[in-house]
Amino acid sequence: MKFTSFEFIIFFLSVFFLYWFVFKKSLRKQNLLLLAASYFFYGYWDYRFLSLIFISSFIDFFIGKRLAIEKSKSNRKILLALSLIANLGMLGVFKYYNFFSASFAEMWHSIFGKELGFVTLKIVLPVGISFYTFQTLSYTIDVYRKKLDPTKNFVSFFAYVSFFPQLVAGPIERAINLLPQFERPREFSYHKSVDGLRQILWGFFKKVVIADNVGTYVDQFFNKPDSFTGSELVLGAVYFAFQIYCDFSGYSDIAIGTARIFGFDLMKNFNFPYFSRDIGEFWRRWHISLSTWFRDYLYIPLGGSKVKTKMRLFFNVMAIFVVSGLWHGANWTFIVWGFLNAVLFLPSILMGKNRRNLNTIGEGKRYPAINEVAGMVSTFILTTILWIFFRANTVSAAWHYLINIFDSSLFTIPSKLGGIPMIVLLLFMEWRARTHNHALETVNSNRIIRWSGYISLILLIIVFSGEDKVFIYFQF
Amino acid sequence: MKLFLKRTLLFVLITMFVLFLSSLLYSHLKTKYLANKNLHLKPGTHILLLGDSHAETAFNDSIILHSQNIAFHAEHYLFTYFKLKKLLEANPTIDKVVLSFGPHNISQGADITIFSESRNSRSFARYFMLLDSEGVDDTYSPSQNWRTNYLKWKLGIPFQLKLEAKLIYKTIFSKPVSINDFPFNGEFYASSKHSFKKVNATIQAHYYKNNILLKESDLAIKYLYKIINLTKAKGVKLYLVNTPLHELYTNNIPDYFRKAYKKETNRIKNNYPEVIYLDFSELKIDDSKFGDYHHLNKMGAIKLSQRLKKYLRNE
Repeated sequence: MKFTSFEFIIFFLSVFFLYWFVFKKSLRKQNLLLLAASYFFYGYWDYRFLSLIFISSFIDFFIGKRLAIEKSKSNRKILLALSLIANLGMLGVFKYYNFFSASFAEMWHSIFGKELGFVTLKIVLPVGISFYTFQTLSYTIDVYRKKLDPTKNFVSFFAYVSFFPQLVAGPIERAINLLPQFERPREFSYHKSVDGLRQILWGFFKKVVIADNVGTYVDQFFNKPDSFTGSELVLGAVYFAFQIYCDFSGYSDIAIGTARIFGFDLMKNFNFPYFSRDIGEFWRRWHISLSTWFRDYLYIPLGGSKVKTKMRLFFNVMAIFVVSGLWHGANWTFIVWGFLNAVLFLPSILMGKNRRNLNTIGEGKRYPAINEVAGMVSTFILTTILWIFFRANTVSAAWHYLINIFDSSLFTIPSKLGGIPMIVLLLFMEWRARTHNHALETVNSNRIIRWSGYISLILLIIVFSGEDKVFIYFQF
Repeated sequence: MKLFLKRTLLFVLITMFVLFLSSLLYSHLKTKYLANKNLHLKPGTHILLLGDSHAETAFNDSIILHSQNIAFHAEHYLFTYFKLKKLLEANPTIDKVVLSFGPHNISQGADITIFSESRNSRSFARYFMLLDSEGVDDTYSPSQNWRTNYLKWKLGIPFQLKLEAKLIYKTIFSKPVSINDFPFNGEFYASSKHSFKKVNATIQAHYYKNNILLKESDLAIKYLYKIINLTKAKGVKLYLVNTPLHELYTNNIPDYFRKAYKKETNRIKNNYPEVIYLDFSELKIDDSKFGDYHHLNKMGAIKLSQRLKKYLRNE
């Protein structure tokens, strides 16, 4: 069930009513309701997907319990390995098997000139499998590391893994943050709920008004790059940068806002990434729940930046970015995208300058300094170039797109500028709120002005709706 | 909780009231900009050139005297019918209508612009202002986009601003609206393209879906006859023109569609003798005059338009 569907409105209102009015007094019943609602929400796509999430939750629940009583180090390692094999195994089969078998067969053919009789599996990629797999893995790993006591509550754990607001596209919540929230009573908070609604509204604006609309242009540019001028292809890449940002962060906003209405606090997933002054800052602000997941469960166990040689540091950085690229999808384009991001990030970390910009751009000032603006613009240009690899269907198509940009038509005025006004509005709103959680958190104290603003956004959403596209990150 | 519900309800009510007002204002603007005077063709025009990309690239209205080409690429006959209805109403001087008519027009492949998830919202938004209830019902597809667009159509909420903004702006500020401001009207496209890459891809798109042969489109055929009946009722002469096709394309048209197309043309000839069918599909045209396997480029358009001009003059 998509957030942007009519079904979701009915679903949300029903769950809200039952949650706060019928089951208000019983935490267990509230959790059971959330579990049932989440399974219904997920099964609405395809009921067969439910078996996977159930198996994944079941395995980790029992491994977690077993880890709590197991004293032997080697047995604990075996239990952890079991969880990793089961979860990553499912992810591997459903998401990566066809890609790796096809790539291997292709390599075999190019080396030995013979076709391999490989069988590709006819399987559908379950929506959001990468998200909940990482979420449930964080539980077993933290229990293994003794950072978290395993839960004995079956319902809480299953509800944590499948919590519908963030089930299919994150934020990827750590058990350490979200699971305890299922185990303590939740009170309705007026301010939290109102802010949740504001964040949902902003998420819808980003998704419906910007992502879906510039998305139609992006499809045209990327499907037939030969038919457009260099300047139009630049515009196409910029549009995609905003499409992917608004699509994904819009989903996160709706997820976080929805969770708040049910009394949960989810982690921030995007922190105005296009206001970053260098690539390191960009990665601290983009898809934070995934970046920190990789940092804590891959980069630091590999030694992180506290390693003896620069070569090892180089390897660690490459590993985290390439794996992060692969996490996004079984395609060489994502791997190349991850690799190129590592290439951009490496110089700053090797020189120890990757944590220069820890504050917010122009913090405490009305306007940023010139060097900050230069950093922000150059970071945006670089990330936008890399998004071309992310969006294209193949690496050669991405290259072809890039090559086509650089001819004399680069300096002509592009057509299809219709997406620009809304992007300007987005940037204006987000710039004002760059030290806050979301763009509508800083609201005018005058209720008439505030409500007029909200109604204007709703009107824009309605006027721009009808070009609905599936959330891009669902496929990951 | 009480306060939350009270304020949320109040907010929802105010929003609905604002929506209602906007809807009233929008309906007023729409009625104004759809006035017949805004849809007048070029002075002296009495031949209307219509259809999809075949007509758009083949009929050069600067060659065919007293004509205007308003064809639009990928236009389904359903949309052509409503467009024609409106234009005949606004331009009683039209006495001839030339419509492109090829085998692909009656294939279910043509329905993609109406029913495919990725394209239906775009075509709906382009033509919604012309449709009546039957037309909207005929575009039904079980998609979120259709439901949204249907509600917007029903409740009179502005569609995609990028398509309608110019009309709304001109109406509000009382600026003159021209026929080209309407999103459903196209014009002659002098294509300089010359590319023969994938005939199979074109054949697949027109006549197959996932390698399975499609059937005739009941919807396209229904609206083809509605167009015929409309022109008959208005006393307008209709010319159905199969524009030139490259022999590689022609040779690859599935037999099923050859027969279906022939059956349909015979039916028209028998039942509507007043309709003129002109088949230029096998007209000898150099490769250099094709944009691709099924479209003419500007050179090809000159050749065909001269032929058509001569024919229409002698009629």
